[in-house]
Amino acid sequence: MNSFLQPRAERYRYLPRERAARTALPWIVALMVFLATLGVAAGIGLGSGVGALGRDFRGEITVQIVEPNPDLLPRQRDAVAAMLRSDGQVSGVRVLAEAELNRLLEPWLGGADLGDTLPMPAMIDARLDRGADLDRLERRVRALSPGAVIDDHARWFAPIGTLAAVLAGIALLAAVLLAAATAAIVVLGTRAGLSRHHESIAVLHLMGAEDSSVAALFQYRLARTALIGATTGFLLAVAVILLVGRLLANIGSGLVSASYLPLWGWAALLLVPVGAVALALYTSRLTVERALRHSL
Amino acid sequence: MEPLARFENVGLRYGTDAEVLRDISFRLDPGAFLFLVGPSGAGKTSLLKLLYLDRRPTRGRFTLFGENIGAAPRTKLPALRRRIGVVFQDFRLLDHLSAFDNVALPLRIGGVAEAEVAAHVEELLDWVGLARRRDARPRTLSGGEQQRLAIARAVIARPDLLLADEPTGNVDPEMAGRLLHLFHELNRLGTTVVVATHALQLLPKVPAATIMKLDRGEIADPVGALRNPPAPPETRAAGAAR
Repeated sequence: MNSFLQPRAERYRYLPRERAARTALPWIVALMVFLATLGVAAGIGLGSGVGALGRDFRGEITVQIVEPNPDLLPRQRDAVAAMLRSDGQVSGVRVLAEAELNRLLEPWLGGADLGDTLPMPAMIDARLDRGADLDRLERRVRALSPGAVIDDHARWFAPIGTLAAVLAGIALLAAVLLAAATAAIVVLGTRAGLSRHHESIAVLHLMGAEDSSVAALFQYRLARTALIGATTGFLLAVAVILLVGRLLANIGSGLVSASYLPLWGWAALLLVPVGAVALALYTSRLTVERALRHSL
Repeated sequence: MEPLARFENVGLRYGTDAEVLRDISFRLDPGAFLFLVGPSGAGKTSLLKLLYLDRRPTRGRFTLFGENIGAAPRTKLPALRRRIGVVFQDFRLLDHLSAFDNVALPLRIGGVAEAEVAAHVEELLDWVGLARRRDARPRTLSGGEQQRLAIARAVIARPDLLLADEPTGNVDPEMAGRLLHLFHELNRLGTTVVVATHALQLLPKVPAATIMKLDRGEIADPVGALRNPPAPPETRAAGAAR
């Protein structure tokens, strides 16, 4: 930091200079920022993944027409499809073709055409409008096809979504706890500094130094320390996030690949080191002012 | 005339211990020169601590520069302290600073421009015979040199009130005489001076000084005889002390 930002108390060395790198504080701040950045990245990544999948699944249903009688199956399928197309709360009705069904079953049953030996259900994909009454729709479907089952995609995704949301919440909570731990460490570090320089501070006070100039000196020194630590921790965390992002992209699974960091997520990550420095400055000032308040 | 300091039945205790100062009442007029004398433990240093605003009185009323110190908010005290110069008994020099920077400290705290600081400090270091030691750290100076440095620091900002606790304890008689002469000159220029000392032989060197004796935390001569003692041939006591 240049001399323009240096408070007078630092320029004239009211207190002995101490090399920040010789104390544990920059390393502790680096570790805290590293962990907090990862926590926030995990929280935002999982949150956006859950959000994206939730949006995809929201309103998606599949109606399975299960009818052992092969003569009745097409009739029921067409009747249900027609009913769905005429329903005001349903859109995007699409009857899956037999070839498409075979393709879906291929991983389990192989490529053989089993249509004659294995009774296959008919399947209809559809999308419900927001606020649609699924129970009413189920009753209407069952009236046309008593064996029909409605598979609400959001229903099976819900537990996964809940788990992911809880994990995201825990990650963000961990980041908040790390911030609290950082503040506590800054308080201890500042108190140690005050104790180390107790005699000098008393002399400065008796010569008429204001609390604010002593606090500014501590803030300035802590700002440098925190900035070094926060930058180191942040850069390391970004490297890890990019590495993990590349590995996740190779997995290609729904939730995992959807868990990417949006642009605003990167901007939010940048707030972690900035917030850590700001927190350290504020905590340090508060600690010095509170401690000095006890003196005359 | 509005007194510079006024003590009215002032008491001081540290924590829950017995009072180290009891029923102190006197006034210090602007421009006065006061010697505080008395045996060790009489309360001289405690009285100085009240005057340089290291403590508030635990009872009574103490007014300094027109401010009731017992009730003044903390935020008002730094400005008052900048009007006071103190020579501490143990010097309290900052070891991490050079002799020059130690003396410059009160000016820098007061926000004086650096060019002005340098000129003033060089001149005063020269006066106290430390010009050649300007870059020396206090711990490398002798006791006498440290004392002169502490005095230079106390007077550099031309304080309205100069307080000195045994300021000649570590210097030879010639230097003691020179330092007292400096105090006297500052006093003649308008600075109010209070010197706590055991060195009674110094008292006659400031004929205009008032003498106040403390004993076991009290002013030893309530009728004022010792504070305004009969003048020896070369001593002339002056200035009201109550």
